[in-house]
This record gives sequence, structure tokens and C-alpha cells, in this order.
Amino acid sequence: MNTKNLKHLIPALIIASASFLYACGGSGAQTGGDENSSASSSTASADVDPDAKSDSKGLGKFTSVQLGPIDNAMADKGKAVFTAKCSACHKITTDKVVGPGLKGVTQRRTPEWIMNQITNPIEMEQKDPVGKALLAKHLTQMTFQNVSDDETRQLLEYLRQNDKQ
Amino acid sequence: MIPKTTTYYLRLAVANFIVLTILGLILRYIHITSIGDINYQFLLHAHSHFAFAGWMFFAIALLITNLINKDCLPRSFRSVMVLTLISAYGMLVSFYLQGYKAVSITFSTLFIVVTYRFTYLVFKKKALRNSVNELSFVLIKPALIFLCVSSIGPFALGPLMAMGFKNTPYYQDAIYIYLHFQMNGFMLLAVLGLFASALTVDSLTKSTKAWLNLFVYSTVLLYFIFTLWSSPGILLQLLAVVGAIINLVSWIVLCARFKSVWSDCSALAKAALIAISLKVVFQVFVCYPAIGSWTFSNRDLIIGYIHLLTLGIITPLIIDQILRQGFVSVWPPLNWIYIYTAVAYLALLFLQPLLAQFGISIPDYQLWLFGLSILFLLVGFALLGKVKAVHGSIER
Repeated sequence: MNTKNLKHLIPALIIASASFLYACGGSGAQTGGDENSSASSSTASADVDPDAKSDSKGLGKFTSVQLGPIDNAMADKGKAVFTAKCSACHKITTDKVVGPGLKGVTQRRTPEWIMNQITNPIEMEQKDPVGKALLAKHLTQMTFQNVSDDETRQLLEYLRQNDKQ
Repeated sequence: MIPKTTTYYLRLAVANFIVLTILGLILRYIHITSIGDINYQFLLHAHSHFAFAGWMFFAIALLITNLINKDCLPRSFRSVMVLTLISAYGMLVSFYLQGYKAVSITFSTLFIVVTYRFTYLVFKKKALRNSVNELSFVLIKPALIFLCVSSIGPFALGPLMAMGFKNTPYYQDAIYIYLHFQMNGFMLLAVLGLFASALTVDSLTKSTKAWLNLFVYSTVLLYFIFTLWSSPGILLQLLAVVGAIINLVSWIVLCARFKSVWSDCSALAKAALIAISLKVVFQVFVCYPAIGSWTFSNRDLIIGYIHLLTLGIITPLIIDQILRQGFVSVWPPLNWIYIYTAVAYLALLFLQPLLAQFGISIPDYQLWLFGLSILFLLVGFALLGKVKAVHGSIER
């Protein structure tokens, strides 16, 4: 290729990428606005002790979770999900890594709160009092790891099993 | 023959690599077992800041210095090396003890000033221009410019915090100015420039130079990829895509133009060039919103990306230069152990997030990552042993 080709290439590239973005840029811009407004409206609250027991159900799609005896097969599936999607930041002991250690979490929190925090972490840490206190303590925003509703339930079962031991 | 003092500082650089690996090893160890009251995030800060100053800047600056000053290490350059060491160890200790606070900020600022001083020394009296071939100069010069540009990021943090932007994307984006222009700007182009300095290449044709400039300066647009995590709107997305595509196309053209060089490359250099190709392709994928949002929320992928740059590209090219400039006699097993270790480590970091999409988890994942980190430590000790041998023979 020589410089003459090069001259044509740049406008071609710009047009190509502009059309690419026209196709998928709209929704992106919208989410951007959303995130900005929720970020600036958040104020850190230190009134809530993030280590204390709380009855909050949190914010998100899980409003009522029925618990039975621990299902070990389901917990095993939860363990696999945990290794793949959570273990970069969390341990199941009391040790903090990036986020808090999860031993005892099923005693401190309601099942709904846990499942909402897994599936809706950004809103939880912007609006839920316990979530805000956790963000203030650990300083790193948790992110949604594309965990399905079934997997979320399996994770809860794994955490329950972990707390029984 | 390499000046004795330069060899001495090179041993320190390799020793710093060992210290850095030990920090990484502790971070990995925390994932698999409990070791009392270690603050993971403070240690992580110590690891990353020490990596930038104590290993990568220190080694790259020394190797550039050795190209310019083949007979002796002048006092001006020596003071840069000493001050880099002070700031690197200062950051290591202060970030570990108190995180991002007054003392660590002071040492970080010292490091930035040292990088300015180094850039000045390299350009003074055309020192670099007169010492390296044109290809090398065309890469190292912008590398040093980007090194200075990267400091805009940290200097913006104070004003942003004062204006109440602490919890907005702007604050993160300022941090990413530093990360991006350090890694994709300074380190990547500087190690490529060092690599080029050992090649015998004809003077560059006009069009090759144009492609080189496209590759180099598309780095500025690539920064916008680092802002996409907060979905900042169509303009920044457009700039990111244009940057990623120009970067990819120019890299492909340059690979074709310089393909005769391939046969002379060491295994380490070949591995690094393949890693650059992967990085250049990944950049385009990440601009696609669905893939981008998955990537930005996945910690293993972010760690994987950073280590693709540092362990996949920058470190192997530094070690390759250490060999080429004659600090160490070539010992092929060392190269292969390094390559296998880096490939396995990076593959794990990238594979697990991919497999997780299909509900698969790698057994003993954290344990494997820890085990592989030990091998990096062994590479460090082997390299140090080799440099020592050369140094000893000079004294005799």
C-alpha cells in the first residue's frame, strides 16, 4: 500500500466506524445519562454499620424468597458459579479481599437482599442504606457478573451451606 | 563493553522484578488462604505502583540510557536511576502502610518529576537521535512524550476532588489517563523502540513512516476505550472505534512491511509481537458495547488485560533487550520457561471468564494462578544469577 491509498483510507475508516456506531450508539448514550445522574445524587452514609444484622430486603427483582432445607446439589452448582464469577473479589471465609468475606452473610442479611445485591449491585450500593455503607467501607463498586436468576439462587444455597458448616 | 555501573543498576532492576513478583505472589496467596491482617487493596496499590516505577520504568530507562551512553553512565542519568529507586520503594512501603495518602502521593509526585527529568536528558543535545536508528527513534520519542502526557491524570485528581467530582466517572477517567498513557503509550512504544534499536533496518520510506505515525498516534484515540465503561455517549465511542481500527490496520501493515525481521527475533520477542497482535484485536472487540460492558465488569478480564500488556508484551521485550544488549548470556531454557509461564497465566485469566459464560469453572483456579506466579519468581532469580555472572567476569 502507498501513501495515496492511505489518504483514502482515513475517511473510509471514519465513515465505517460512524455507521457502526450509528447502529448501536443510541442505547449507550441513554445509559450514560442514567449513570451520571445516579452517581452524582449518591451521598456516602456512614450511619449504618455494614457488619450489623439487617432486615432490609434491598432493591431489585427479588421481593420474596422461600427457603427450605439446604439442597446440597444446588449448593454444589452454586460453588461452581462462585469460583467462576465471584472468587476474584470474595472469599467464603471472614477474610476481606476486594469485597467483604462472605462467612455468616446469610445470618446478617435476608435472602432477598443477597440475591438483589448479586443481580442489582449498582443500584443497591447507590440507594440501599446497607449497600451504601458497604461501598463506603470497601470503596469498590461491585459489578453485575451476568448471573442468571437460577445461578443467583444456587449461589444463595452455596452461601447457606457455607454458613451451616 | 557495558559500563560496570550500568550492569550494577541492571542487577537492581532484576532484583526489583523479584520484589514485584513476591508482592504478586502474596496477593495470589491471599486468595487461597488466610494470612492475618494484610490489607489486600493497599498491597495491590503497592504492587501496581512498584511495577510501574521499580520494574518497568526503571528497566526501560536504564536500557535507553545504555543505548545513549555506551561508555559510561553519566551522573545525570545515574541520579534519575537513584531517584526512581527512592520513589519506587517509597511508594511500595507507603501504599502498603496507608494506601492513597499524603506520603504515598508525595512519592508518586517525585516519580512523575523524575520521568520529566529523564525525558529532558534523553532529548537534550539530540542524545537519542544520534544514538539509535530512525525506526527506534520514531518509536521512543513519542513514548517519552506520552510518558509526560500520562501525568495529566494524577495532577487532575486534586482539582476534580476539590470540585466535588470524586464520585463521578470523570475521576476514574482521570486515573485511566495515567494508566493508558503509561502502558499503551510509554511502555509499549518504548519497548518496541528498544526492540527496533537492535534491528538492521534501511532508512524508512515516506509511506512506512506515515503508517508508523498512524500506529503511534492512534494511541491518543485509544484512550477513549478506557472511558467506555460509563457509557459516555456516541462521540467518545466514535473516537474509540476510530482509534482501535486505525491501530489495528496500521499494525497489520507494519507487520507486513517488517516481516523480514521475524526470522531474527528471539522466541521472547516473537511471543511479545503475537501478544501485541492479540491486544490490537481485543481493542476493536471491546468497542462493541455488549462485549465492552461484559469486559469492564469482569475483574479477571481487567487483570488479564493489564498483565497481557505487562507480562505478555513489556516484560518479555525488556528481558529480550537485556539479552540483546549483552547484559546476560543467552540461555534458551529461561526464555521458554518464561513464555510457557506467561501464556498459561494469561490463558487462565482470560479463559475462566469465557468459560463462566457456559457455567464452567476451572477446578482449583486460584491455586493454579498462585502456582504459576511462583514460576515468575524463579525466572527472576535465574535472570539475576545470569547478570551476576557477567558482572563478575568484568571485575576479574
